Amino acid sequence: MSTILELKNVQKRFGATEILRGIDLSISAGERVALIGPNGAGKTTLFNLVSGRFAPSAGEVWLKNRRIDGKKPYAIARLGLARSFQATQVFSKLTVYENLRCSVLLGLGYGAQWLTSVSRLKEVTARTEALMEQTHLDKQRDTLAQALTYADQRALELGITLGGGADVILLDEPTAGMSQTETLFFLELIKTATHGKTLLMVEHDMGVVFGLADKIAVLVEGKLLAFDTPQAVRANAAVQDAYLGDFSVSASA
Amino acid sequence: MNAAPWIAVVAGVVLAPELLNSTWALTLLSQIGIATIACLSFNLLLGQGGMLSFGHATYTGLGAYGAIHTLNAARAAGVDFPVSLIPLAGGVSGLVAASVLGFLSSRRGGTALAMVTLGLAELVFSVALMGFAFFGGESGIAGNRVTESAPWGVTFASPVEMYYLIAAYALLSAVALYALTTTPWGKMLNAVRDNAMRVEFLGTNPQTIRYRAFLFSAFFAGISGGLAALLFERVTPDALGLERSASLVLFTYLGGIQSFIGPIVGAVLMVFANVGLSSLTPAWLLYVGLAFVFGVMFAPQGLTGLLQTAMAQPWAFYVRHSVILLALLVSLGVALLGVTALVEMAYQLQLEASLGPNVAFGFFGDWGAFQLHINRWQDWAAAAAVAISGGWFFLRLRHALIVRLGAKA
Repeated sequence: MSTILELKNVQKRFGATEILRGIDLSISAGERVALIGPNGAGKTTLFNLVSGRFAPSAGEVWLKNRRIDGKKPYAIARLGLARSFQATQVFSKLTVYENLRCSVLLGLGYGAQWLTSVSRLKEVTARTEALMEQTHLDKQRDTLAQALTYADQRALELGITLGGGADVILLDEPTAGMSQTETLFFLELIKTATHGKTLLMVEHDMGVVFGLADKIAVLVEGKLLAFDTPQAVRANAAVQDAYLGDFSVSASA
Repeated sequence: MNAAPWIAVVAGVVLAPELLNSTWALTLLSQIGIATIACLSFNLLLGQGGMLSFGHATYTGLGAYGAIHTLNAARAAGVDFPVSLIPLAGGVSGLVAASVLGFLSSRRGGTALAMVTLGLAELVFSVALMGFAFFGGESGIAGNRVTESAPWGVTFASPVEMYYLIAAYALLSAVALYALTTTPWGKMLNAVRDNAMRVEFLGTNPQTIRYRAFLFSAFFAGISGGLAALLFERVTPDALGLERSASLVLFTYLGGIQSFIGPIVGAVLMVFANVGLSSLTPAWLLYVGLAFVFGVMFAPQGLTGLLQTAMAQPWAFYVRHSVILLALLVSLGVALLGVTALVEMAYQLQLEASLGPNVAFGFFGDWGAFQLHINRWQDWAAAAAVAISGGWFFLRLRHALIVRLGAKA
């Protein structure tokens, strides 16, 4: 399999604080990778560097054989990378349908088009309808995003992320704050919706991680402690010391 | 989209001069048309794009200057230029101005944008006052819209012809601006309003979306300015002033920024305030300010939003709550009466030397006429008592209504 996303010695400092201390990570096309690690390990910072929110202090990020570190978020998104946010980022005064349509429009490159009415773009309508069904939001079609329940907002967040048709998807704690049943349901949703795509996901729920991921990357204090299959990571003594053991204690408490 | 309201509007606009055959009414309607284009173009920024521009008069004003200079240049060169196209020269002037000023304004959203537009507007206005020949100093630039050539016998010498020109531009601009909101770009503009950061991560630079909004908005603002230049045949630096910009913010907001027709309602209010209210009382600007504060506090969705909410209620709602609604209206009227009395007395106090100590009130001619004396403390106390009690009852009744509606839901 070919490498689609690669980080080479990526470092990030905020002032004197080192957040990431040299990350090397190579993800193949079609792989599902879970990024785990304790709070403050630098998981979201890593997402921000890859998606263009910040530039790394040192190192390189490559997407589909193009160097993307330091590029603007919209330039990276156009190369086929989409991300979701830990704190839901939707268009609050637009309806569910309009929210998803925005993402579809941009994915198809219609964002600057000002000479046709949006209702005439049949492909956009069809894709938006399909996306609504896929995320099970079709019953809330005309509900304003701000009026949705938390779980539905998370589904909308996922729908917006997927709607542009990107083939590299970054999900930042998609199931955070959800109940057990909601999480299971959502996991299925992510599985089917990202079929055949490359997925990098920050996740705290170990059930989700082991059920979904082909590989697990463990980030501790800004360093990559392990990057391997779930079985290998589970057996890794260093990981158990640093993170998993600790986590299972706190999760069962 | 339902075509019936649009047909009704067009019919009303076309037939208006037949029904109101007075020059005064025609000038009023012409000004409403001009203000409509200006407010609609402003709301493309505020309502659709979430961009609070404090400098929209920069574009209407520069459009007016561009139009009047084009008119004068064509006349001086002896070119046979159709006067009906002069407003387009205003539109192009607005567009050119926005290509630079709008670029600077649209780099950032939110508060930064508001500050930049304010600064640029102040800059342009002070340049206009510096005495460059282009702006014509205090007396401005005069022009003459009536030319020798008369295509189809139209010379724009009569107010009716001018009215129809303005009406045509207003209708076309409204349709064009509405159409823009239905395009993919228009939808992106809404998305940028709600969450610019999200748009950026979906593959479009929000700055380019905002910049384009400035270009469109300034083009139509320029058309509005160009029409004003033709109507009044004079453009002064006041056209670029902050007062004009503030007025656009105020009345568009009062009309309602969340619906497309809100700014049109705002435009009507603006012209009635500028022309009607200002002839009734010297304190008219104070009333406009009070109305704005009141609107922001009690009807943030604007007059249009208020009417839409009212119209969405079934008849049963009005029957069930008839007493409280009526009391609410009466208390509002009483409060307004008291406030008006206080404001008028305060103004009279300031201008006593020239106007004398009496403030005359009259409703429907002589019916209900009475006088207040600014030298009698009893009159001040009475006015204050009326204002306070009316206001108190209004707030209590409003609260009671909200509680009642909330309990039902």
